Amino acid sequence: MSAHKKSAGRMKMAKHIDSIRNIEKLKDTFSNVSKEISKIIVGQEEVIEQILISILCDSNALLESYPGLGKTTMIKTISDVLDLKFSRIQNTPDLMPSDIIGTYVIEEEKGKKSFRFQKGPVFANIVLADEINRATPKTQSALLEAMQEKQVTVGNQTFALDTPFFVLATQNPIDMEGTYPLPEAQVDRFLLKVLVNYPNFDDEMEIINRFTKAKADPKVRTLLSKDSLKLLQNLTRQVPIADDIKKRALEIVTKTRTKKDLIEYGASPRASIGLILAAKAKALVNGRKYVSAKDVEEMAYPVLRHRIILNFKAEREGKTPDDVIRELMK
Amino acid sequence: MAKIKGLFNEVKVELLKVVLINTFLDAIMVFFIAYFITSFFNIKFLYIVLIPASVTAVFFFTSTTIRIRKLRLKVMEDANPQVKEMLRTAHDNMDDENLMTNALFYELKKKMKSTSTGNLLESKKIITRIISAVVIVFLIIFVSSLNVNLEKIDIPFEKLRFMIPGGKDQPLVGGNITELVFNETEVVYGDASIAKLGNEEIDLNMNPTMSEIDFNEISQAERENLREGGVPQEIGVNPDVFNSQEVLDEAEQAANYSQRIKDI
Repeated sequence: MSAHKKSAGRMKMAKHIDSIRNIEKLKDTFSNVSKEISKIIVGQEEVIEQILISILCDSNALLESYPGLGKTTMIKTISDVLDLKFSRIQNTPDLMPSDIIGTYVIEEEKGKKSFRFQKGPVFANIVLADEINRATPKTQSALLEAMQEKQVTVGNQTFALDTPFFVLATQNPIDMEGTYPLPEAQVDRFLLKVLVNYPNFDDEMEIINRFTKAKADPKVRTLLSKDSLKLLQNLTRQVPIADDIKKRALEIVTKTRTKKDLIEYGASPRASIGLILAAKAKALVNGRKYVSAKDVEEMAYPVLRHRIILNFKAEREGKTPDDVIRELMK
Repeated sequence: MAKIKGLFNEVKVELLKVVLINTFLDAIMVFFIAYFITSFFNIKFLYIVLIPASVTAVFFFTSTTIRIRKLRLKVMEDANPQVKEMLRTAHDNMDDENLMTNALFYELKKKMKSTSTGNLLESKKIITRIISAVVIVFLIIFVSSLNVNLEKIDIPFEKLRFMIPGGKDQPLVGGNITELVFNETEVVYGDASIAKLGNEEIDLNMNPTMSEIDFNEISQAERENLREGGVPQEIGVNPDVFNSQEVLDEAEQAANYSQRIKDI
């Protein structure tokens, strides 16, 4: 073998080993991201992790939370740490689709008038659609189309959205009067349904200390670039999974269709895809290079809870979707 | 990828070794137990060894086949928790070539260096098997060497009679039980008084010379003067001997005997 070929081979091996060592550092990377976010957000580690998982899976998440739990601050902080453009849409019943996707406006320049497309808030990397169930179905569908297609069509022109593109839609579990609940077919498009609970006593004490002593305006560092995030999204899909664990995930999803004593309608194959992807992302966030059975079991709850419809018997017994999912996994 | 395939080949070889060791120990146990059982039967020694050997061989091959079929990488993972789930994930994705799988293979190769096949051998089970084998061996020695008088069980099947000592001609004990006649009389072959001896003592006197010899009176031989009497001066034959009927009868008998031999 010539010297040139030997040195090329050695360089390739060195690059290979460097790439592997970079992957070894992934756990530290995600740990640092969580620490940076925790400078502003107290607690809610599980919520932050699930939002990161949604971003890594290049998908969207539905957040169910009571008012005042820091949803906007949380997602704004995440976008700052990940160097992503953030926009917020406050959904109201009078919101029009053009308010979300944008519209043509007339501009006059040097006596000449022309139409210019004014981009709407959907043209960002992270979009917070607050109280999506308040918007009319027509407005909801405009946003959901943007989520699905990663592009918007206005008139006869199509505008591609910037990647990565992530929508975090929120729903308020109380105050449901005058709302338009998302139809099941649309809810199915969200990868995860994340539940945000009230902080515990110690966390709330910390919140009080931080935000009442002085007007705090902590700054967070940007730890990941847009390109790094795209690379991580590719790596997420490359995480290997054992056949028996894949089988286990599929068994959990198919059981939602056969457990007729508690479930009226089960989850679709979109749930199977979502569960495997979410488990891969969870493994990557935890610094592992393989999917564990525990990843599948932990991700089953956020992936499936909004995709199953309980029957009357389950509701009468006071069972929640999480209770039913727990029974399925026994 | 070739290296990771080599690693899995090594793992399979190690697992196979463990299967063979465990099956071998079980086979030894089976052999001793089968030998112990067959030694109670009234069969030739060759078959007392051959039957357990055959049973052991069948058991060995069957058990090995079943264990190999049940062999899974999970066995290796359970014995070495540091590679839990990694081993079978790498095996199932062996043909994939990307950054994550390469990183997994790299980490797996590093961790496999610290694994040991010894973890797969459950030392408690092995010690139990060895102790059980030793106990059975001692039991066999005890039964055979101390001549424990256990009832020898004959083989009831007619086709297997060739295994009984003495061959096929030996009648089966227990066959034709209705033809057995017990002698309920006092008539026995030989002297009847012998049959009635029971626990009586017999005095046996042996007198080979018909006279009593006193070994204390034995002395050196003395010269005898034979001329003083005892030696006949004349030797002659009594002519009456040739004229007796007895002699004639004997001669005739001899002649008849010779004729008979000749006829044969």
